[in-house]
Amino acid sequence: MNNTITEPAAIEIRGLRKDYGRFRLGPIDLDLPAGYVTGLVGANGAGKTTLLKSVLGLVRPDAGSVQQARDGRALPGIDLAGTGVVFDQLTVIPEWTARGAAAAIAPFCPRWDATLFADLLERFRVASDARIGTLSRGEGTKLSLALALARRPGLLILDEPTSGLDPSARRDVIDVFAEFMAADERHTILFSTHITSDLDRIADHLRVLAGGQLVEAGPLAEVLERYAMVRGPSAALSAPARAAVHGLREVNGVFDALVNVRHTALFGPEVLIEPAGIDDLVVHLGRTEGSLR
Amino acid sequence: MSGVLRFVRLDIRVQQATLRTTLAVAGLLAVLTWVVTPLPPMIVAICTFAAAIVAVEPFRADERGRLDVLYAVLPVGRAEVVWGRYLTMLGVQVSFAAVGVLLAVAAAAAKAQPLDAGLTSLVLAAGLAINALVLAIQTPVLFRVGYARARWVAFTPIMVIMAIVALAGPSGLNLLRVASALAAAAWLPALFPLAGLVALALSALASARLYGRRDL
Repeated sequence: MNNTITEPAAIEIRGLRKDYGRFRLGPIDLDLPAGYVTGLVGANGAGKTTLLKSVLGLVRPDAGSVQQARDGRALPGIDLAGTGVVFDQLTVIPEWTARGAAAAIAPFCPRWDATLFADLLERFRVASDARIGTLSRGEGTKLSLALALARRPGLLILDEPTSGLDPSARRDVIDVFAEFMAADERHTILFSTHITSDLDRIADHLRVLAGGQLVEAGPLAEVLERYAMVRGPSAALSAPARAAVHGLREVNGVFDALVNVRHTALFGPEVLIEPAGIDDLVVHLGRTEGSLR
Repeated sequence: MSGVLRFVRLDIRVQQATLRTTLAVAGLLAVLTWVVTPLPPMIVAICTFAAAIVAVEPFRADERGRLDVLYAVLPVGRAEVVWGRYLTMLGVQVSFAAVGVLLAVAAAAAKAQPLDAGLTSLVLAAGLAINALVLAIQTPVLFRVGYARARWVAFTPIMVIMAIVALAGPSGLNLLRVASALAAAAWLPALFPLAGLVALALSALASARLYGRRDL
């Protein structure tokens, strides 16, 4: 899928490919619009983490390029000094305290904001002198977020940052992302997650990966408007309709599937047609074999 | 401050967190040697051996804290990480050796023995050279695949020592003869650490290349 956007791109990915033998990512062309939150979704093994790692330089792509808009030019690679990264697990040793982790990382970050870090810890109720090994999963995520934001980044790259958090903690974290976006119109977030309700709250754009390929991309509202969920008796599924749907599931004579709204006329009155959600796209586009219709 | 020095500071912070174990091992070995050996210079040998044993610790910490991922998302190049790690390891080796020398001096004084300066400097030089060889062999492997997939390299110091013992022959006379000959040539002990530094530099070049190609 060619992902062309009208907004200026913060990151441009062209022809990115990574082959692990049993799994191949790409080739992928993807633009990350500047000033927006872009959600990256896909089933397990779709290639989200490989894509993020390729963007960050953690893995070496077999082909393709990643460019970032800096100083009015597209330059190769990502400016790590201006990028905050949050993974689903902390990347510091458990013997450190939160304050110790900050002291270790700060010398590398030219825009490190110690006051912001302390404020965020206080807001998240994470003790600065607590050993990291004793923190709960939620506290660890919040510490990770505080470490990322204290770098005063322009770009946040988030890989499953809210997984394992309770709803209250997730809401706190999403609120911080929203504040980050509101603070500067150039701020940009790339947010990979399985928890699509988080994206419903904050994402402007959506990229869907399936089987290592980018299968859908665009502004979130537009992407969702392109699809509908269809449900009904399998007997009502004509051959053209069967050919038009994505990720057809049939259980006990009842089917459900995703369909492009262009094709809804193929279904009779006994078939229920409803708006699709992000979860529906992940589930059904992930099951579609071959290219999208 | 350069990226290498910044990384050295970070690496020292990581090692400080696990220093208790390292110091406990080294201290125990040194005290045992103090009690058992009639030769204070042996304490130097034991301390340098302990330094070789703990050389994998930073890589184990990398694995436990997923620190390779942290390094990768900080604005520091992978080559700078490698050179910084080698500098830290070198500092640890020299520190352990220095502690060994101090303990040897203290042991000699406590036992009212004169410290054989020639033998001590030979043991020190040989110990540092052997450690440099150990690090030069094992570090590129650790950088290439990480500690989890290269635990076996922790046995490198023992394998190198066993190889030296094997070369010494069953009675150890060959080694003693070599040692005597080396001790006679005062400039040779100075050459050992120099050769070790060259080996480490070549190893660091290889590590930088291998780590640069590693998927994290």
